[in-house]
Amino acid sequence: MNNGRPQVIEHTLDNGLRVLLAPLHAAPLVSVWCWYHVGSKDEGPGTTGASHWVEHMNFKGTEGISREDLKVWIERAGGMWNGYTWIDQTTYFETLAADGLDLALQIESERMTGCLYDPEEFESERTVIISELQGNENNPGYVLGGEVAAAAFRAHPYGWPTLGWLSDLETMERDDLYRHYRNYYLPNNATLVVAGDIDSTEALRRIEHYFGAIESGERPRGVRTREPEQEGERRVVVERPGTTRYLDVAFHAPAFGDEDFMQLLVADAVLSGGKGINLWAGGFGRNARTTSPLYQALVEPELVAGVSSALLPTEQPYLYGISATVRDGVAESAVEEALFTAIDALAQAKPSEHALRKAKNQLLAQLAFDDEGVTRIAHQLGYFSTIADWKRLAAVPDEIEAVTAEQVREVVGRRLSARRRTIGWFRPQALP
Amino acid sequence: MSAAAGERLRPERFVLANGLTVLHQENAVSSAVTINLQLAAGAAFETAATAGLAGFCAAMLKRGTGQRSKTQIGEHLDFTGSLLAGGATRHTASVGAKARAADFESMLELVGECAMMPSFPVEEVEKLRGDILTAIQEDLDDTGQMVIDRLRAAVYAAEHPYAWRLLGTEESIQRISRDQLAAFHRAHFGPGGAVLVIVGAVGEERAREAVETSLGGWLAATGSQGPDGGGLAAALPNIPDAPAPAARQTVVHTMSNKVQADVAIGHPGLRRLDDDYYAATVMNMILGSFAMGGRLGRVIREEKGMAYYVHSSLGAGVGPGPFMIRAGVHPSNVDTAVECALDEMERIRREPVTDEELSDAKSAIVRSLPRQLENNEGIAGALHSIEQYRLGLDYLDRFPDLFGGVTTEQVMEVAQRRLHPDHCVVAVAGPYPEADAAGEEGA
Repeated sequence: MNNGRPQVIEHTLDNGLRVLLAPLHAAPLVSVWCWYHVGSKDEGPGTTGASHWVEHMNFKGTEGISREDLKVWIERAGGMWNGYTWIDQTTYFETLAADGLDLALQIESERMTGCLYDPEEFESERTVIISELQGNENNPGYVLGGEVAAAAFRAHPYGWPTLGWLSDLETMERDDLYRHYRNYYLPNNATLVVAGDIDSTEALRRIEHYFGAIESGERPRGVRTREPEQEGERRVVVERPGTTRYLDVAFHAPAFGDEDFMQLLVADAVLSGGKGINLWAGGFGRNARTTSPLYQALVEPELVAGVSSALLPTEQPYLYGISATVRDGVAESAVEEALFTAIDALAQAKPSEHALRKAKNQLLAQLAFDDEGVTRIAHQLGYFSTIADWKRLAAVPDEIEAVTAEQVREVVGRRLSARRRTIGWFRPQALP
Repeated sequence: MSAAAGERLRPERFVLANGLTVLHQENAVSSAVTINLQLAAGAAFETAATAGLAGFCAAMLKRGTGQRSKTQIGEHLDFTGSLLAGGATRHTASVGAKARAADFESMLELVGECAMMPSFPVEEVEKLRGDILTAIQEDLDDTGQMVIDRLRAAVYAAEHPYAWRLLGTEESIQRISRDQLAAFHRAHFGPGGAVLVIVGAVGEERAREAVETSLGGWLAATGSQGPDGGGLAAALPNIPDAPAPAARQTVVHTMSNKVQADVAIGHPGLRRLDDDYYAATVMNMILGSFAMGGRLGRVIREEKGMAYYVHSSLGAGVGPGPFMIRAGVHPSNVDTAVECALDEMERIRREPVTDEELSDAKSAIVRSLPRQLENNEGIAGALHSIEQYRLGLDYLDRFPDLFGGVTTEQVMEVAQRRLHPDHCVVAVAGPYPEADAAGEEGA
């Protein structure tokens, strides 16, 4: 029985490609993920959205595999495939029957070096990318979240959206993208994760076959900008035709590698419920649990219809966010007062042992839920390899257990203070 | 490969003396357990005037029982880190839970309690009503939701159970009383029409014992539970046929505050138990699913670059459909995208699909089985379908042959019989028609 705790084998090829193998024989499946240490924070003004657009272009055909075959091969084998881009990373994956391992490895090795960037495909994809952006812009939550991040970050590139600004998407050129691709898609800037029904010796041999000859390159320097300390509350307002009022609050948060990350993770679990450390919340959502202080302060007295919060593991200091959907007719001041009173209460008095135990139980249960299936397991290994040392993943349960009630109080007082927050309101205007 | 998947899954099925059907599958490569109780208590048992009643009722189940208050239920869930939710679809209501295996017995007890004896506290009914009304208000500003609403309302006659919204309307939700919720529960929740699925790190003996303890005492309510011994399948609602629209019809919901338009093209589709189902699934895979949107994706996304997403779905359920094509496009591309989609519907009726398309589609379906059973939720979902549609416990073993045998002729025939490009509804929600071209049609 693996019980979700696979023995992970780490190996680095001569060209610097880090390989993580997790043999799991419960099902005849394999999940292959190739992670690149490049995300929207590695872009600059004029090319915001380049990482995400590169991801799209890397499904449009390589020297050895046509655009069609890139999609068809995996689906024909009954597999699923996709990719995503966020602030720190870009990733591609295939989950399919274990005998399809070679297909996935071949695709990922081609993707690392041989994508075509055909000028016509590039232009055709421009409108697809803009369509993706505009689909998101239909959603008030996306627009508000973007405004709040932009206001919270004055210097650091975490402040612009992963999809990019529209004018950059309208004007970027094919060579801008190709340069971005060539600069970052290096074996020594990537991690390949293979989890599932594999023989690790044989899998490594196949990986060497497909990736061994790829030349390493010079890794671009990472982002050096540090966001200056915020010295006072910031406010932004979005006024648009709409039906519902939304609140977004963001506090500057620690990076995953910072020493108080786990303390704030537990503090968030105390405040609104434990969500684990999966970017996708393991599919279980981020809504406040019913006995949590935020639910009791906001939902129970019928100020808001729902409240959620998120502390996401990132490479550099990002944001701790709280979002609420306000009920019709409720004053903004009433919502703010209830929310900040609940946070301040935890800064004043440490949580009870019962509240702390409850928060930890929730986090530990979520970690267990995340260990189900090769796709989730491979995702977590790779995700953490792009933001920190992946080995720390195994230590997370112990680190959660070690957080004390006093540390929770202290981190809330220090991190979630008024001067470090940005408050955003979506104010719906009458529909036309 | 697919045989291996079937072999891996050897669920136990047993029926309690009170008529409750139980399906259990141990999955030791998990430290968690998924519990899902499903009952014939979905939106199809509402009327247009009581739209949203089933969902309202299901969401109330964890807000107080004869034994515990909402706070006590919340405390149990929050202390163990478990998840519990009640919800309703068109045909069924469900109480679903996910917990660490160590908490299995206490969670099953809670699932049982919520299903058997919810107390519908008045103040909780009012709180939930407010939450639902807020969600309805949010939907009014959501192009994706509005386009589906408009499509359903145009595709089905007003009294057809597929015509109204699952969430209900502001009017219907305002009208629903506490007594109506309790009466809906009495009428539709009972062991005879329910199926309980348990998947996870729990052995058979332990599962049987816990089920007997927590749900063995569930008495059949006075309402209808379906014929004795019929289980969930017999208790499901009777969904009437729905004729295809007499002609192609366009409905537009203009939302000029939006940037992008959502498009839906659809008509009544087929039932899950129709003989056509397997050929239709292969046909739909080729038309709008395989390799990111099938033929539709190739033309509308890849060649014309008009949409981030485009796909089609059969919608085959207890009743007919809807078959639907969905896309999100810039308002200036709506007309072209619709034209392309209708052309593809027509083309798959007119021309045989290629051998390669056919074999790719079949292979994608048949070989995806192990992946669909990757985790507890996936296995539980498969077991529910098997029970709900009486597919038989050997269904997963027969799965490869059911789809693998579909021929080119069957695909074309089923497209001719089941796709109606000239008798469908084209719904658009968003900034369409564009302001400068709107003429009199806006508003």
